[in-house]
Amino acid sequence: MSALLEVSGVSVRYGDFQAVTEASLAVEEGHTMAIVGESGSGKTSLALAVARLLPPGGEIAAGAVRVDGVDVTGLRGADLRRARGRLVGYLAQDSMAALNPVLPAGLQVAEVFETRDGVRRSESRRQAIELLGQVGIQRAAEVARMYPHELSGGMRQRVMIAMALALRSRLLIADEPTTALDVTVQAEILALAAALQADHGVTFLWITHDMGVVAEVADTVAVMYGGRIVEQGPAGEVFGSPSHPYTQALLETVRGGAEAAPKTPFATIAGAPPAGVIPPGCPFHPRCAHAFEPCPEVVPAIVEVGPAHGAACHLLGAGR
Amino acid sequence: MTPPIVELERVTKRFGGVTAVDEVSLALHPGRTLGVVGESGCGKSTTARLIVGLERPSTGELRFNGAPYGRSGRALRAARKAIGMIFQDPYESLDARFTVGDVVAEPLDTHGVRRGERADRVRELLDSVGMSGIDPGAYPAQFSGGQRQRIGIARALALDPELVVCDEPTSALDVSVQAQILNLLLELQRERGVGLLVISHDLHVVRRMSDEVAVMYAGMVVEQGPAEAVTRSPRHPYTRALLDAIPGTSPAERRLRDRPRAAEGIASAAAAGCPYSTRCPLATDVCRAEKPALEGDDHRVACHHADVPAA
Repeated sequence: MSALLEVSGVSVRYGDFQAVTEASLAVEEGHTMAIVGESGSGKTSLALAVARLLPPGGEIAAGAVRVDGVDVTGLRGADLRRARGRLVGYLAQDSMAALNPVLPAGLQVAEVFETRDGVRRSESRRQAIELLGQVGIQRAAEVARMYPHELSGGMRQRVMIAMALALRSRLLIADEPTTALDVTVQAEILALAAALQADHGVTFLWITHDMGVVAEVADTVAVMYGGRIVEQGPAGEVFGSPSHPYTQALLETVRGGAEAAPKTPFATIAGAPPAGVIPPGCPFHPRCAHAFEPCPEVVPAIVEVGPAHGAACHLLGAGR
Repeated sequence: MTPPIVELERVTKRFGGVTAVDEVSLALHPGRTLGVVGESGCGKSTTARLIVGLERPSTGELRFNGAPYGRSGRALRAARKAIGMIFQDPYESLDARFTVGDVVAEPLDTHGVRRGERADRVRELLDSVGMSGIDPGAYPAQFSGGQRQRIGIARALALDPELVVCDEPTSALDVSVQAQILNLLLELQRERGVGLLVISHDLHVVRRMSDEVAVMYAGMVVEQGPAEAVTRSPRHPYTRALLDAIPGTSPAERRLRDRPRAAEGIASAAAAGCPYSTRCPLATDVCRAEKPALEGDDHRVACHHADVPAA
C-alpha cells in the first residue's frame, strides 16, 4: 500500500510564532488518521497547511505535503484552486460559516457538478438531490430548496459531506465536524462517515480534541502538544499501550469518566496547555508528573515503542 | 433528608408559542448534587435561569426555603442572594473591562457588603478556588480558560450561597483542564455543604458529579432517579439512546460505526402525546395521543413503554 497523504517535516509559522514544529505523518488510501490535541496544540494549523488554507500571515516554513504524489506546498493560482477540492476537501466545524447563507443547500451541491463536470443545471440538480439522499437526508428534493439557516446543525454537516462527495476529493480533512453537534447527532454523522469510507474509499484526516471520537474513527493516531507530534501509531497500539505521559493522561480522562463511582475526584493534569509561548525542551514538561533533568533542556526525539508506533519522551530514551 | 433549599413544582415557561420548560418539578438539597442532562433545546438552561431568578415562570411555583419566589419581591431577592451561578463560557461571562477583584466583588457591592471588608473577602474567595497569589487588579483576559472559570466560581461563592447552579461549567474548557474544575466543585461542596445543580450535555460529567440525575427532552423531565440507576439501568428509550451515542473508550469497543445508517429529516415536534414519539423506536398509537406522566418511586420515568428493550 502507498500513502495518499505524506507530510514530512512540516513547520507552520505565523510571524514569530511557530504553531507547528517538524510534523511528519502518512495516511494510507482509504484509511482515517486522527490528529488529537487541545487548544494551541497546532492540530488545526497542521490541517490548514495540508489543505493550503492557512490564513494570511500563516506560512509553511519548512517541509513538504504530498497528496497522491503531488507536492501541494508550492502550488499557486489555478493549480492550487484545482488541488483544493479535487485533491483535498475540508469539512469545517462551523457549517453555518462554511455554507453560503443566501443560496439554497441543493444549489450549493449542484454548483460543484456544474463547475467540475460542466453539466447543465437540470442534470446537476438531479445529481445533487440524489447525493443528499445518499448522505441520509430525508425528503431530499424538499431540503435542497431550503437555506442553510433553515437546517439543523446535523443536516448542514450532511450537506457539507455531500459537497465533498460531489468533488470526489481524494483526501477529506474533517476539522471537528461533530464538536458543535448533540451527541445523538454526532453518533449518526460518525456512522455516516464510516459508511461512506466503506462505499467510496474516502481517506480522512480527522482533527479532534475528543479521545472518544478518535476511538470511533481512527485507524492511526497522531497526538499533538505544543506544536509537536508527541506520539503516533496505529489506534489499537496508542490506546492499548500509550507511551507518552500526555497520551496516558488524556486516555485516563476518558476511561475514568466512564467507569469511576459518582462523586469521586477526577484524575487531573496540572496546569493548562501552553498559549502563546511554548516551553523549551519537551513542551509538556511543566505539566508532566515524570519530568526529570533533560526535559526542560532537550527536545526528545521520537523513539520506536512498538510496530509503527513512536513517542517523543525522554523516559523512553536509551538507558532509562 | 434535610428540607430542600429550592423546589420547583410543575413549573412551565413559555416563550411566545414555544414551551421551553413543561411542568417540571425538582428539589435541590443542601450538600447534594442534582445533574440535569439533555441536548440542545431540551430546556435545561431555561430551567437554570428560572431557578436563579433570571426568568419568571409562566405557571407553576418555585420555592426558596419554603417561600414562593418565582414572581418578584423580597423572597426573590433572598433567593438571588442565596443562589450562585456559574456560566458555560468563561471567555464571555466575565466583563473584560472589570478587574478580577471587581468581578469577584460585584455581588458583594450589589448586596451591600461594607467596602472595608471587600479586599479581604476577595482574597479569601480567590484562595478558596486555588487562585491565591494572583493580583486582583489584573484583567480576566490575562488568564487561561480554566483560571477564568475559577474566577467565575469565586464570584458565585461571594455571598456564601446555599445553592450553586452550574450551566455547562466545563464545556468551553480543554479536556485536561475540565477535571480540575469539576474536582474544585466537588471539594467546595464537601467543605461548604452547598447544594449543586450541574447542567450538562455530557452524561459522564453528570453521572460522576451527581447524587441524582434528571434527563430532559423537549422541556420535560423524562427520567429521574439516583445517578447510578439512571445511567446504568436507564428506563426511558431516550436515555438509552443518549447512552448509546457516547463514543467508546478504545478502538476495540467501537460502538458507533456499525450502527444502522440513520436518516435525518426536517424536525417536527409532536403536536400531542409524548414529545419523543417522533423519534422513538418503541412509539405506538398511545404515545402519539397521550403525554405520559413521570411515575415511579425512587427512579421515575415518563414513558408508556418504560423498560421495554429496543428491538
